[in-house]
Amino acid sequence: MNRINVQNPWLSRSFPDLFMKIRDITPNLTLEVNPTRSGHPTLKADGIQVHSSYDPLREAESIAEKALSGINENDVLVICGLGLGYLAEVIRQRFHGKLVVVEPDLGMIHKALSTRSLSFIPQATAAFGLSPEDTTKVIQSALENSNDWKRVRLIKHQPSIKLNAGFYDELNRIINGRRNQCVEGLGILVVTPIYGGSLPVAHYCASAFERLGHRVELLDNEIYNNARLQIESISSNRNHRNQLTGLLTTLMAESITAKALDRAVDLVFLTAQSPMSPNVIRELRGQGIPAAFWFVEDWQYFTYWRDWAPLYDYFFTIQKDGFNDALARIGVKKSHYLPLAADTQVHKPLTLTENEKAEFGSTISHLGAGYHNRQEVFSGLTDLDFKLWGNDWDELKSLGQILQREGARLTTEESVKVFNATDININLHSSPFHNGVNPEGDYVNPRTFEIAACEGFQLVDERSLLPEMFKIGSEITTFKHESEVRELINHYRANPDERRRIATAARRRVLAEHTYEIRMAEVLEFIYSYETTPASRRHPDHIDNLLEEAEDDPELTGLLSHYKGKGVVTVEDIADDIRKREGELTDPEAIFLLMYEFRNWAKEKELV
Amino acid sequence: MSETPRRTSIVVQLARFGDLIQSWPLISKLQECDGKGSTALVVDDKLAPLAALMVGEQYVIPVPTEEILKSYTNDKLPDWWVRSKLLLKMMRDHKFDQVINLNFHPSVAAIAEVIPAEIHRGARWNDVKENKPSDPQLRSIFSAATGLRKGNKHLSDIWLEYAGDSTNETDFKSLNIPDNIVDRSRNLLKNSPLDSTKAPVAVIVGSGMKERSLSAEFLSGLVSLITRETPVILIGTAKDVETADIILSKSGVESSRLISLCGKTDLLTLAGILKICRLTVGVDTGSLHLSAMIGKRCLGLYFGSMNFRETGPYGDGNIVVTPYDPSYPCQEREMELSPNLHSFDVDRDSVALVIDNILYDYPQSHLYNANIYESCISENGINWCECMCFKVPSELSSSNGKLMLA
Repeated sequence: MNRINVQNPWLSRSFPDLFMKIRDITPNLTLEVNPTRSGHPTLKADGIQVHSSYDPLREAESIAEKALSGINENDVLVICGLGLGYLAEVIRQRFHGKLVVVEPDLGMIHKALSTRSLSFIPQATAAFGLSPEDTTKVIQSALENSNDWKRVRLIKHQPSIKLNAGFYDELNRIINGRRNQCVEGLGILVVTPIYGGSLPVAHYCASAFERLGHRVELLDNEIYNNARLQIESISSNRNHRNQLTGLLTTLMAESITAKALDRAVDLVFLTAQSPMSPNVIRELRGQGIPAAFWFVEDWQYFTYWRDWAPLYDYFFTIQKDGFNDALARIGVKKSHYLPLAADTQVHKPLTLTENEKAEFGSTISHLGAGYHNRQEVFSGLTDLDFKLWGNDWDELKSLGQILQREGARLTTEESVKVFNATDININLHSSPFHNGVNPEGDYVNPRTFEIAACEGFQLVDERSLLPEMFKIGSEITTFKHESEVRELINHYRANPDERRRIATAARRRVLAEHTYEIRMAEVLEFIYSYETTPASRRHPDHIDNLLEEAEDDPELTGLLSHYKGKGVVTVEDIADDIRKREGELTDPEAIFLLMYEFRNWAKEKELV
Repeated sequence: MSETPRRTSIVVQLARFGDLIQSWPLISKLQECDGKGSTALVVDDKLAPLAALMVGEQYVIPVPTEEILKSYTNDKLPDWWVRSKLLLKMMRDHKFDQVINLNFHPSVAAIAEVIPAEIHRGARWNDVKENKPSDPQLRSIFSAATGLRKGNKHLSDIWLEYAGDSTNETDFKSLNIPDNIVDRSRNLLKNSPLDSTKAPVAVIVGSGMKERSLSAEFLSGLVSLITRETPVILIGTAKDVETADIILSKSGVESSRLISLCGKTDLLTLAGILKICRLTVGVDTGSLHLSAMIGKRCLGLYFGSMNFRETGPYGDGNIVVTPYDPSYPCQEREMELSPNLHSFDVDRDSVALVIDNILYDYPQSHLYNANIYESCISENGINWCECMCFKVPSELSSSNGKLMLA
């Protein structure tokens, strides 16, 4: 066992945890230090020559010279691979900005520290022995709260990368994602389902993308709901109904290609149950437009993911572990866990009128569909001031007496009022298979985030993924078994201050971590860690292309530069902006107007 | 400018030949009110010679519409930009007191919008973009532009209102065709076999729109009937040559009585020819309007979506024949969908009788299945009076054969 060289006393002082970790490490790699003619020792790891066997320092100087060209002091340099520290040392001498040295292998760090004096390390940020995600956090802190990941420059020590290819691939992907998040003004086509619980989710996603500054095109398929219902009643022959439904789905799916191409979007985003066809996914891919699907369903209950997940370019889930493994087994590589969230522009605290409080308020309420486990649990609570909202409840059973509006669906606005007006919202995740709490329940339903965003107080059944999202006890109150519910109700009914404290903390947590903006940013980060260039960048009307074309004309460049970062900017967009402005037209505006209208005229005459 | 105008106006009229000609009453009035040189005219470059007759060459701003439009097929943004820049320069070279845009078309409205002026009249760009005409005149232009042809007010009178209230003058002044132009046209006729002892009748062969055209068969029959008394000149564009040839051969009329000038005249020569003719017969076309505006009598054959109340030949004493059909005038879309249902359902003999009546005051016995109207200009603009004599038995018609007004 090699003890760390005493030449590096700073390590135990500055990084005691790391020191303890690497002090007694048994290296995974076979590390062999050899002398060289230049006097600087070299290293061989698992048979790979990590440094020059003649002059490691000179080699490092040569790599540094190339790597530092075009770098400025505002950049954050990330050296990927420590080796014996030659490259990092040379770069530290020549570059005076922020420097992060990454080495995931503790054995390598051990060897370097016991071979050479790495006295430069305290003047750099060490990301030693971390996961790719944690390494990214270290780099983020070096950016000092800036989100400009384009300032992050990777200097790759190739032998080190070869030794830890998996780590660096993942790190590279994550950094790429962060960089591409800086890709502004993406065009995103959000495709909604016809009806159901994922319909509002699709709308929330669309709003979030828009608030993130992207150009959102919405394909709202809710308009086909009447057609769907019509088909249901058109024939008693199931085959005929299926055929007609298939035709309707084809129509909706083909509309995706038509709209995606017409509006020059970069990405098509769908939520569960949104119509699609394999052909359309292929067509989109052929045009360089990735299709992403957010499966906001329970994978064990709804199994259509088996057919669809392999077709999509990106697949997002609200469950992990078992589902991830199942996806991997059918060859889905680009899947990502993405829990639900709240749209805090919609779900928010309200000041209700007395009438609204009377209508929507109660000591206890539940808003949702009448799944079996809910029917069972709630039928034991009907003696309380309990209002039950939602559809599919059995009115003839005891719950009929507390069911509101004869089981009609509530609008989103009304739901927000219920969450706001209720003292204790009971949020029992649905299960058709259990009599009460599903002991294996994992994902967290949208209602959890929505009630919290409204600063409503809720009792929610335990879910294995919930503790990652809220601190149990201080931010949310859970019950493991339905038998605990009555006692919890009694406790919190008697302690309104405690309720308020928890509800306030829950809302704070939602605002900080569980908004749709945060989720959609994560979607884009994941997707653009794989995608190199947004599809629209190839579009002739992409603002960067227009600016390139217009570079010789300062007036035109001046007009177009207002649209920098907006992605594809059609002449219609600019003309609309001009139309909305007040006052005299400036010369560039007037020129643009003429150009725009004459182009339209040419189109009208079918010349274009 | 020869004298200081009271007020300067620029009229934007980038529509077709017929529309330009129908702008004459407005332009004429503006010039009368504000003096010569008060009015400039933005027109399609191909119509510039005609526009020069209206306002004087130096006050015409020709827009190379076709060239600009064609450039969009190949060029890219910077080229379009440069071209539009030149266009803007052209539009902003002078300052006017008012801009009057006569077209409910986004491109034309954009041109009008960029011209610096204190007052903007007519269709504004925003109105056009939003399809919301903001005043009654605009609504009429809008309906014409959208093909909803059920209006009762003549387009020239609608536009005339943009001249404002600055004059008491109500007389309609014909557009003057200079002698040199008429002489040039006369020489053209002299070199033709046409009998020059009698003033000819001009018959318009085609129309810019297929649905508005009369058949070669109808026209050849009509021409045969007219040429018994009067020589006929067929007029039209190069596109009408084929039809004209059919008429020439089918009618069997010798060349001293019938010639075709289709495709052989420029706009000014055409104006000269029409000036020489006694009467112009045809459907709603630029040539018919030109004839009317230069003060020559017209017989308009209106059917389908051609609404004579909106776009009949302007001036006093012009006649219009329409089918006796309660669905007339139909909408343009109906005309496109079923042209046969909305055709000119009047026999050529009847039309020939009307022509005889106009030219020779021949008494007519009857004319079934048609309506006939005669125009007169009043303080309120053009009025159309139904001429009953063609629809009733001869004993009820006037003894001297003149058209008897209802």
